[in-house]
Amino acid sequence: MPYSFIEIERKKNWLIVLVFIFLVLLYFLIAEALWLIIKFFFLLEARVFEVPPIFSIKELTYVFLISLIIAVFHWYLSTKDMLNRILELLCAVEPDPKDTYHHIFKNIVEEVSVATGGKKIRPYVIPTAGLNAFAISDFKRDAVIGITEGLLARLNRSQLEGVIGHEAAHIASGDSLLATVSSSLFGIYSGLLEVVKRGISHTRRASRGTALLLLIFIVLSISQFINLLLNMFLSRQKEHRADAVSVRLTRNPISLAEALYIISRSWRGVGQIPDSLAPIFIMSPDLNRLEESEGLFSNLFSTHPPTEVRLKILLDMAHSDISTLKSGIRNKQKILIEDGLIEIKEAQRFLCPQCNQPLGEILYEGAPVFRCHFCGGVFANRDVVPRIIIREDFAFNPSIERLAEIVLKTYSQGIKAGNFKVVYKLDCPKCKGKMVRGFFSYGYPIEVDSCQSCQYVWFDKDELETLQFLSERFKLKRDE
Amino acid sequence: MKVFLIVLIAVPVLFLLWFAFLYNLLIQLRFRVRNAWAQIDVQLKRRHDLIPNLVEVAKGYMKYESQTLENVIKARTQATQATLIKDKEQAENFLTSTLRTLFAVAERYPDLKANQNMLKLQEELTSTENKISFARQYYNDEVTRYNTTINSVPTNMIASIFNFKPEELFELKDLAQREPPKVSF
Repeated sequence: MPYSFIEIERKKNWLIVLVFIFLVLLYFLIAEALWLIIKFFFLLEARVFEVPPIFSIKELTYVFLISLIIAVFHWYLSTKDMLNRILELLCAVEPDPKDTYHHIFKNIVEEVSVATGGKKIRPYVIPTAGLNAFAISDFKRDAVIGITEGLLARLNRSQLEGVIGHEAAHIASGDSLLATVSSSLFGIYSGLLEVVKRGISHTRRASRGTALLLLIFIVLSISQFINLLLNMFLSRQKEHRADAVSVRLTRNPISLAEALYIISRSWRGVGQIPDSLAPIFIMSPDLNRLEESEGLFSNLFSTHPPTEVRLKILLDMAHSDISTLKSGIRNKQKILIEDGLIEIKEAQRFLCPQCNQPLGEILYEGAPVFRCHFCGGVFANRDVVPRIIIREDFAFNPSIERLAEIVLKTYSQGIKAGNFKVVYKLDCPKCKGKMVRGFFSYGYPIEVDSCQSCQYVWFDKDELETLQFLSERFKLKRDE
Repeated sequence: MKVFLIVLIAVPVLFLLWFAFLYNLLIQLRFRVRNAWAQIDVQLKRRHDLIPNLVEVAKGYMKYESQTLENVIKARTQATQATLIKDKEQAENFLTSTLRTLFAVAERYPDLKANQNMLKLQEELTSTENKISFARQYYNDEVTRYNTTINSVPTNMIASIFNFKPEELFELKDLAQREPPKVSF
């Protein structure tokens, strides 16, 4: 088994040719079946006495040529710009250079790109609380490693190195190219399938529309089955191999095992994505019984090996076992808010909407926000707030806990008292427009001011902390 | 007779073509080694650029440790001046040992450890150290491949004719001493 990056470079190109042949054959079979149906239909209508042969070389060639053209067209359309389309589907964004967590992630991706001999790898972040990571690449040797915000917040540096080393191994070996191509080829179908499924469950009365939808549903289910067949190309072994390469790189099997354990014990979802995208992730985003079992059938049809087996191999390398691993995983040490706020020197000049003093730009849980030194209010972008909610570096004062209790008890009274109408109270520090006062969300009934045009939110003193406190408490309750 | 003539011409031509192919392979491998070395050089330079900033930040806190800081600066100057691979190896290892002492001493200064600039520099240094170690792994892989090729039959003949010399491996100590895996029975 090859372990070094120069040995594993692009050995899988022939598999991609196989995928193309598979595509052509698929279209050929469909086209031939359609052609035969049409032919018999006309023969019945025409009532000819001399029945022509069912197959003729000439017809087969025509059908083949047509299906070849369709396959080439399909191939071209789905592989054109496929990286950006997948990134868009996953809502992935480029890392924020000011953000501490994103900066570390960017550094690690640069490190592994050095290890692959200077391949260019672009880092991307998916803003979701789920824990997962993915790698994609295309024919132009453009490659992307992505990670969710949740995983960034949970793992320490050496665990992150393990995960990203694993993804880099996929890119160098060409596994990720194969996975990207096949998932974007059949992604159209599984995307359509989702829509049709929803369509069927929404129409109540049986009508011609439902019948049509059912027909499409059957066709798409067949294509889904084909996708399953395609997974046979993507062997489960590639995950083991990538784990091995990652360990060779970081010389730290324990950290990768810890990372895998943390990911496997948590929610791995990354939003509404088609099933065909599963192979690009480090662990399948859906909970899947097939993935976690062994045997001929699951070996053939699943994309990832069982986590238990992966963990066992990694732990054997370090002469450790699963119970030591479990006891070794500690939660991050929490620090006081006063110690965790970091000044950024080059700040933009915004004025506090409450007390008209200049706002200073700081890192709050590693995320850049503006803060007033006098009233303690925080002015943050809507993109940044979810990061703050996901991260759990800060320990809170008991006063925040009391505040949260009060908020939960009293918010309904505010609604009853007729605070439903739109209230403008403060001016936006950025565009000087009016900010709307309202709840942050229905899950977190904290009153904040938000500017609709520049997507910034103003938190008064302690409001952001209360929001974090509530979200962490909800998370704890969910885990119990 | 005619067949004999064709064979007489074809064999040397084929032989020459094969010869050219092997020669090109060696040239290609040699360039890959040089490219890999250039990558290490880039990262080493980055390491040397970071150290003055690190010393500058540490100076403000470690007034009584001027000897340690001077050693680091001295080691850095030596490392930037080294040109041969062997010298570089020695100079970089010396630099690593002085940096280790610096970080060990820094443990005694909690203010310095919590300093934001220091934390940022430490993250950059960790990243650079990792890059150096990965670039080194890649370089050593390439060198091993090149050395194996010029020593095995039949490429060793071409290598000796055109004077392809074996390249040296590059060994460095890690700044962060990784703990050896615990063995339990």
